Amino acid sequence: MAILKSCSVDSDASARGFVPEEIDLGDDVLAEIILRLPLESVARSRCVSKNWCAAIADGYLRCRLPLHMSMICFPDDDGALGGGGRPVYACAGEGRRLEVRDLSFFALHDSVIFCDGCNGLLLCRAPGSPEFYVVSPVTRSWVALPRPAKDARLSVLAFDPLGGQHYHVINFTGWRDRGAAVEVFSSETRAWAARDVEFGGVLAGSLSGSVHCHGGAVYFLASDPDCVVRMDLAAGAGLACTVIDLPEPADGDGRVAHSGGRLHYFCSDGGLLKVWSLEDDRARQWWRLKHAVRVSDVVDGGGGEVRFLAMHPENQAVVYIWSPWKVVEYDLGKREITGAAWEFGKGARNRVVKTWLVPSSCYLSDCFADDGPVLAR
Amino acid sequence: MATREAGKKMIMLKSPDGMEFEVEEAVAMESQTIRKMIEDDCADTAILIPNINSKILSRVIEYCNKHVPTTGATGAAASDTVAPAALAEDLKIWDAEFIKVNRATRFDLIQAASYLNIKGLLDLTSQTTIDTISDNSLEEIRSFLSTKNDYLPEEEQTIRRENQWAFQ
Repeated sequence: MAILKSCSVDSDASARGFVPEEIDLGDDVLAEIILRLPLESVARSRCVSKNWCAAIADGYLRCRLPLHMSMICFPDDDGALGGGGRPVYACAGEGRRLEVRDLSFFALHDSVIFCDGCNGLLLCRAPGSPEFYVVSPVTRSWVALPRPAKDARLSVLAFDPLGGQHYHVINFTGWRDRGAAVEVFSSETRAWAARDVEFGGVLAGSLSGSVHCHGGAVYFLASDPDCVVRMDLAAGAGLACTVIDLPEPADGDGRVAHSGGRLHYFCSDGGLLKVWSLEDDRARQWWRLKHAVRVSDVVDGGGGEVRFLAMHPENQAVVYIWSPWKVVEYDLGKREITGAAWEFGKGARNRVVKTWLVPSSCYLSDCFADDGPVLAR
Repeated sequence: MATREAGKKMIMLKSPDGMEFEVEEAVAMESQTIRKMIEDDCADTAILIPNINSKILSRVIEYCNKHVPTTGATGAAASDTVAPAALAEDLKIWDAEFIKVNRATRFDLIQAASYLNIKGLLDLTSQTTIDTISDNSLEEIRSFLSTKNDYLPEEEQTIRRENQWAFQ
């Protein structure tokens, strides 16, 4: 007779029957429940008991948690308001709805300039001043950063919750031919540090605004030469840059992302959407063309306008694409929309520009914990 | 393999307390765990299911019997006469009746569904708990789950502060 492998839980269901007051939820039951909870309920249940809190922090469970999708989008300008649309922050909610997050908890939300966003955090600056703020729309909290010494030409936020709860702000304060003067803020040290950065021979003027952050490094796409500049944020690395040549030019519409631990490069070329992955052995690195699909196969109608947003962090065939006016999950291997599509409310038209997918409990690691109580204004 | 007159493959499921349940293979395969075993040819005529007593196992089989897709020779006839929407409605009513059990049984069913990997049953059995956690105060959640609050007052204050956003 075959025997199913025993499960790890020390269940004694029959003995449990006569002491109903002392129900011992096994780890399996706990995990199944947590996996099905909406994000806010996961956060609340951390307060139930130490056991629950530990279960939620567990790495294995964290990998299985549903991905939390958040994005920055611009309301479509065609509306009656006419231009001047400020970016909004939205999250995937119940029923495949994209819900715009109310930022009113942040007193300055009406006046600040949104500089950047990364994996669920936003970087803002007060107009006409070097005051920076980092805002967490999901946990409705924010912090003011200490003043940097110089004005910034470009500000980049780097935060990878899978790699830890610390974030960096990189201010480019002056451009040189193939480098820049920068100031870097680390949330670990709570201080700015000035540095000189060399882009590894890449022309500073050719760096694009398409920035990606993963595992303690930021990646910039550049066009002269066509490459990815990887900037190491690790303490002591001095923002050292390495250059990874691209297999083909980005033509202003390229993106980089990580999936399954590998760097991926997306570009569209004459109606063809191509996905390359960076392969390596110990000796060398090379790009492999993983997928090439016609844009018209990904979305029909809508004027063919598509924007690659993000990759599934594990499944290297699954990507997230915006086309008017929704976000779809597309399987490049099967060449079909997986059935998952997220939309804004009735008639809402938003252009999604940046999207992140992170296991939800990662948001709960409080990245502002070191900053003390949030300043009230 | 044991067979019935309809020519359907039968599988014997055994609980650790010695009860035997003869079920159609298709019904047993509602469990992804058992399906994998059968597909990998690891199952002969009987499968011992440890950790799930006969009371719970019989409820699980009852659920699988009801939810096994009605395709094939007899199933096709059934879906010809009954509209899919009516079938779904019927299943919903049946599920609601099925889940009227005490908490201990419900948690046992969640565990069995998790172990046997039966998604529908997992969704059904965990929904009440999920609703309770989503809609109630911490004290109510603890009492529903029979979980003791083992935080010291200052620890609870800290964890509450960190997750304050989720209580608003």
